[in-house]
Amino acid sequence: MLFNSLNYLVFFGTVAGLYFTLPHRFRTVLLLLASYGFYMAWEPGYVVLIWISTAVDYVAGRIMGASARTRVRRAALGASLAANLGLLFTFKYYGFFRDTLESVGLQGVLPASDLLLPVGISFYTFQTMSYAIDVYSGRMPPERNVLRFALFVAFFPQLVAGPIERARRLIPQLADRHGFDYARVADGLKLMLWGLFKKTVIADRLAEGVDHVYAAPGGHDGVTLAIATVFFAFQIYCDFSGYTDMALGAARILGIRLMDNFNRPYFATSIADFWRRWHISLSTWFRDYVYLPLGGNRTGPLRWRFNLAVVFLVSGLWHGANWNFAVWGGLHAGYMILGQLTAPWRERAANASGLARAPRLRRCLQIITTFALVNFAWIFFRAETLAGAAAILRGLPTGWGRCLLEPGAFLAALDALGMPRGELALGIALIAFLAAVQAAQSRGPIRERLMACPRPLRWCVYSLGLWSIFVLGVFRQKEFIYFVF
Amino acid sequence: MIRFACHAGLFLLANLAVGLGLLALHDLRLDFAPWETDSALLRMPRGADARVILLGSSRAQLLSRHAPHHQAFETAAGGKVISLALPAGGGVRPARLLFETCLARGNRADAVVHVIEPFVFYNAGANDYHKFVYTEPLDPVFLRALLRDRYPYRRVLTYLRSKYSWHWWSQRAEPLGELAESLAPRDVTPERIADRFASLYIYGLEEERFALYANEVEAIAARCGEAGIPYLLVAPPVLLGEEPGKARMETFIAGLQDRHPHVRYIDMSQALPDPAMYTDLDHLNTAGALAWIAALGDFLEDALSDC
Repeated sequence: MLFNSLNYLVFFGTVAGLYFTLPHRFRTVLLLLASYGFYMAWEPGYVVLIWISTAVDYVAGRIMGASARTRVRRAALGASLAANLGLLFTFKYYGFFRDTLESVGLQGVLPASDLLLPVGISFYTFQTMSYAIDVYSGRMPPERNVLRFALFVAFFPQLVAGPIERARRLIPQLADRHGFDYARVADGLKLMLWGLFKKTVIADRLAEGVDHVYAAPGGHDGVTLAIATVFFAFQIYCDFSGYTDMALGAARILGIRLMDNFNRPYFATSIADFWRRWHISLSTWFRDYVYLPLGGNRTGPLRWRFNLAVVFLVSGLWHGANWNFAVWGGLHAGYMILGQLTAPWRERAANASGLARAPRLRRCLQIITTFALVNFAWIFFRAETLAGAAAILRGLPTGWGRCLLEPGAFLAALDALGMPRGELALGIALIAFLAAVQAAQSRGPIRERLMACPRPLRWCVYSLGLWSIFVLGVFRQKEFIYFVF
Repeated sequence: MIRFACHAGLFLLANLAVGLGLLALHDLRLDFAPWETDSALLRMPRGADARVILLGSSRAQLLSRHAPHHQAFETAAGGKVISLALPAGGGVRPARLLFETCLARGNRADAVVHVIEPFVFYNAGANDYHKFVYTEPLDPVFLRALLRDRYPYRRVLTYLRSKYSWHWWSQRAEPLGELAESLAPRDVTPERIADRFASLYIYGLEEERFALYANEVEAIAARCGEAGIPYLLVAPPVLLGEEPGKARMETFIAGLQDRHPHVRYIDMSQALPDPAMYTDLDHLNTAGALAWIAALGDFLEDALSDC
């Protein structure tokens, strides 16, 4: 059931209606049943995996809470990690592992598998693992209420693509009593509307050009490839942050405040800054449960670089069982390490050139450079294979002179995106609109400023959003990109 | 919660009123002749006494969508023709929905001429997923018919959303005149015929699908019976030879005639074998259309005196 479908609208409306009608004691059961129903709309059988993850982590948490013996606690944590990582390996990485073995000449060592990738498995396994680690390290007590714990694992707004919540934030909220609050429900609806706008009006529109070019990347000029890649940068942002806004909005209506996952990532001034703004729930997960346990930056420079490389490579592979994602993660690790190595040199260059005395210009250049680097890495993320990414890299430097000097060639490069010119112009206008909105957000959340306006003006803005989705939305039941991770 | 529900209701109502009001203001200005639009509802009058209501796909549309053809058809039929024919393989389900809407608008006719082809009994794209709703104006009666009929909801959404597209708000009359181009005998090859069948019978020849769409024709026949209108089924002239599923269609029509005495059928599929009368394997040019119209006029006269 996609968030951008009529089915979800009816589903969520029904669940929210029942939620506020039922007494508090029945709400956990209602949300749990709704969450399982929501998940089973994709592949009913795979709900069993959620049950396994839930059961193992609940029992492991109770054992760790009941025992003071390190050995027992460690065994319980080990069982939790083994179960969750085992599920991930079996359903997500087995085929990749087998293919890699075969590519190095070890044919037939492992049997073939035709298991489908369960939607959201990377999200809920990471969420439950964080619970087990937190209980083990004493950051939180184990949850005793099995239904509430099951709901923490399966809470439908964030089940299939995050945000990856921490148990110590989410479980207490699930226990709280949430009455109907006008302002909170209206705020949640506004978030959902904005998320739906980003997904249906921007992301799925840009997707048409991106899909067209990346389906056959070999025959295109550099201009076409560059535009398609920039389009992908905005497509994936609007797709994922659109999903997240809808998740946050739905949860907020129900009284649950999920963590923010994005903070205007394309306004980042460095790659480190980008990762503080992009998929925040995942990057903080890796920070808390991988990077810091490895020693973080409180080690020698070589070890610190090693830690960074490990975190980004694992983060890359978390996105998909494919070498493309490993290269993508590796590129970001390389950016981070190079950024750290060249920091003194860049500072000296800024002072010598006078750029240090023009902070705004310097900031602009930093944003543009970071955006370019992120886009370069997106090529590996979006290409189907490494060969496809290589074809794009080969094509990227070609045709620029011709396209910039001849208007006809430039228009042909635009037409090669496979989008009608009106749609293309609309896509570019929407990117500009998004950039303007995000620039305005730097002075505080627009939703809050909007609340200070008179009601007729607010209603006009909401109406405009609603009609934009209705008129300009692309409704082709296109899945969210992060659903496959 | 009540305050919220009131505000949300008011907000939605205000939006609905503005949206529908603007659309109604725009649509009231749409006034096209039968040969100026693909929209069946824009061509459809209210409370008219017509000689013929025409149903069918693009082959039927040839009889009316081009100015000289429409005028010739009205002359041959001896009165007003209301064409509900649809382009791009308009099937029997859209035909039934439009026909019911036509009667609901208080129109009457001496005969319903349904240009029928075997492929429409097998093609879901012509029936359940046809894009005709894109060109039809927002009409409450028609919308209710779509909803009551459980027409695929994505198509119903397309129907509503398309009314707020740039295409809808900028539409102008698109008159079609004479069709001069023609085929040569060498253009009629088994390969081209096979290609054409491949596109028309893209869903194969499933009996289950046939039964489903045969029910639509049965419903049109029943509705004609209730309204006392003769229902004339016509297989149009084509250069396709023996069409797949045609025998099955004719068996069904024979049964239909047994059940409904006001149903007549004529097979004109081989009536015009000269490729010079066609623009492609299954669409006539103006010369062909005029020849077919003359033959249809004779059939109509015979059938009406017989019914």
